[in-house]
Amino acid sequence: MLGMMIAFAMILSYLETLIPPFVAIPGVKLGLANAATLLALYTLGAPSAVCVSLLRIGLSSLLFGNAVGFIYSISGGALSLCVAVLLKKSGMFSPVGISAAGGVAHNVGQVLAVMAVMGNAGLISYLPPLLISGVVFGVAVGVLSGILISRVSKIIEKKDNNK
Amino acid sequence: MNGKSKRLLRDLCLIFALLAVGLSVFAFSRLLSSPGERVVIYRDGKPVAELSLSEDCSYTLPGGKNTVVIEDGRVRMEHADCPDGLCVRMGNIRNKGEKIVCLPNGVIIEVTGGTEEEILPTG
Repeated sequence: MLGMMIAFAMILSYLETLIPPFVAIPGVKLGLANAATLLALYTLGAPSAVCVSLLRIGLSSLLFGNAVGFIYSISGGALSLCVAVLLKKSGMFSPVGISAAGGVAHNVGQVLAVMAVMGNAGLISYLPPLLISGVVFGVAVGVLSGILISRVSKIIEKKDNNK
Repeated sequence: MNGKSKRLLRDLCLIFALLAVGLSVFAFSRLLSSPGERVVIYRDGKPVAELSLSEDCSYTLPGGKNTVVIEDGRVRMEHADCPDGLCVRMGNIRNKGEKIVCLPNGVIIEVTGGTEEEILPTG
């Protein structure tokens, strides 16, 4: 099951490389692969989700990205994971909201990482458009995740009932 | 289900709050922006060149991977060999605090006021 999740995450990640950059601002992206992370979070639990996320980021950077990009991705991914896990634990939000918050957290993490690596604090000016894109695309991916979660949960339930 | 709709409502509040923060910071920085005077080019965190916005020129970074052009009081990344080309697509900038970043090559073009008078980063 975990293996399937990771494969799913990789496919989503690959699909995203096929989409040409939407706007000329670095860091604005769909975040499709997070659908797999959220799916894992809801159906398998937090430790599995962490696994899926970290492995996906690592493998994607190897296959599709570069070394520096890895640092940025992992910073964003780590912060995004923390936020998502905490918000889910609180039980106060649905996948859509968690995805939006996760998207924002991911971009914040990435901007902070870029600022640290480039040593330029003024780069924080890139944050406002990334906050907005984080929310917008986070919501979109969240809706997708919600659908996936409910469908997959039902399949898992049926399997358990048939045992 | 009652629990679900409560969560969706909180989602909306969260989303709204995040959007509000992003949009207001964005608008705020836009309002405060003003034309700059000098251009500083950084590579890997260190300044490698400082040029004047008022003098048209073309500057290629050592290594030949990025070319910066200043024309008509605006600056842009004329050419870059990075895979995404976002820095070139960004076009021209001219206000204090605005930046063009070429992440893969670690290059930043920043417009400054010449003296340290920026209050907030803009862009």
